[in-house]
Amino acid sequence: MNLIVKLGDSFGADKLIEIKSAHTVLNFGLNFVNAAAEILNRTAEAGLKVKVRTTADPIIDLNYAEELKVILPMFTLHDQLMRDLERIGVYGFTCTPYYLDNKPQFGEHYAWSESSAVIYLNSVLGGRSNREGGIVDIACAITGKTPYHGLHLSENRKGKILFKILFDDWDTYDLTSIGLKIGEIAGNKIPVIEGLKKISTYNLKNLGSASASTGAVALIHVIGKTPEAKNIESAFQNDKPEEIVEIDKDSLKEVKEKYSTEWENPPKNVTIGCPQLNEEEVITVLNKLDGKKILSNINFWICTNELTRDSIKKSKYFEILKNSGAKLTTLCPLLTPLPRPLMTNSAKTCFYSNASYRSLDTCIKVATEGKNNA
Amino acid sequence: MPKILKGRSLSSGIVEGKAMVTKQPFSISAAFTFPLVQFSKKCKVADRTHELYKKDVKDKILIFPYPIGTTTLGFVLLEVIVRKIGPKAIICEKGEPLMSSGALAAEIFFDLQFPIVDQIDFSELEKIEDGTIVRVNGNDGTIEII
Repeated sequence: MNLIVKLGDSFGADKLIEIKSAHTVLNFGLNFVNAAAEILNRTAEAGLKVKVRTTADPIIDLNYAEELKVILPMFTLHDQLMRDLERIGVYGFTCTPYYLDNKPQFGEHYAWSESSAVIYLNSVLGGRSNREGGIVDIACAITGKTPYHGLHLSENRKGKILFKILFDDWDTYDLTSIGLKIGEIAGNKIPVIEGLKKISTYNLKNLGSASASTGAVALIHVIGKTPEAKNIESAFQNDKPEEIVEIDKDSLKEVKEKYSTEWENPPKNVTIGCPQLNEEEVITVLNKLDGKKILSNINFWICTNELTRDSIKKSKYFEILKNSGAKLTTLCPLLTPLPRPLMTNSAKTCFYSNASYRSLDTCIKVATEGKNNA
Repeated sequence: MPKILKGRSLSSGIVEGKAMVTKQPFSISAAFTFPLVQFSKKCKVADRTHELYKKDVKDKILIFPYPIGTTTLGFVLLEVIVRKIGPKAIICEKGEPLMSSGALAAEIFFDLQFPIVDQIDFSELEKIEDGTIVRVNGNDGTIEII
């Protein structure tokens, strides 16, 4: 409580408000979260429990213990964190909790971490959450409250910069690259996008996660698509944009190169999905893999949540998965230090993990045909 | 005469150190996760998209416009503070709760102070040259350029 009151004070919040749910990133057992793990341990030892539904980010996928055995020793805190999270009442491990039962409602208040989830919550679902961070989220979950400031207030949800997308034959690779560029330019200002009315919600997830990596963006309005941007007037709350930026297809080439790490050798690991894929996205990947085989010296990871993984395993697509040799997993490619060289279709993974950044089609081609670059 | 600038205190403590200034927004997660995982005694910025890439920020007063990046930021900063491998303080134009949560948690749970001061115009901050001695007072939200 002390922590969230102090935080609220310094950011001018005059009160705490009730939250409907929480999502924490304090779960990953890598050896760089010792101090935070100690705080969680003290919380659990004190017998405190969460007051609201609380999910957490993905954990290491022990179904692949053999493939991951080289890096498993780095997860020194895994057992302790899992035990303490369970003691305080946290369950459900995914970066896309809105695909499970932790689905925010329009206009309600939340205390979430995980930048890609917070931007989805605010933009796509119209819920309200600041980017809390991996200790405060636990404090909010335990108290059921968060400081009332920032994106909880309507006036702070006003768009500031208008991005005009000048082409309409974009694919997912273009959209995530647009996301990288928007985050870079917008920084901590709220972007409004014109020209993406037809974007799917899962691609909004992919675009948003990119902007939340290169910028401190926690809310994006897409005119004609997201709930607070029925038209340009509502997105800017009847004000004018401070700046207008045009994005054409050519300018994305530079973005794709800038954020990609090029390796001399072909990848040992290829990861698809970060944020984790929903069922529709997994099926898209599997359809593309139909009749193909992943090379034996490459691990091809398709990252999704537990629910989708189990559903795919029961579906007709399981046959394609098995025959292809791809691995359907709940691991987080960002925080699982997979051996390099690494290739990904995820803008977020490439930003944080020195991976080669390619389209899904190219990732599949490389993993099945063995070229370094396709 | 030392120059005093008044901002807002985001966490308490008084420290003095050499300034390291960047005009580029700073991702604490991208910069510091790698040195932490490596148990490095230094704090070389691991964000290869940043102009401070490979620079050691240990014991510096780190000055940037505002923080960016994912929400592990708070406990990454907390870990840097507890292991004492990173900067001594942060000054920026626009802070955010994610960043101050790391410093506040260090104070509440580990009794360690790490002052953060924000709300000082970057046009003033960018005049500070690298290596200049700066005193950061997180108790009253002022910085003193010595």
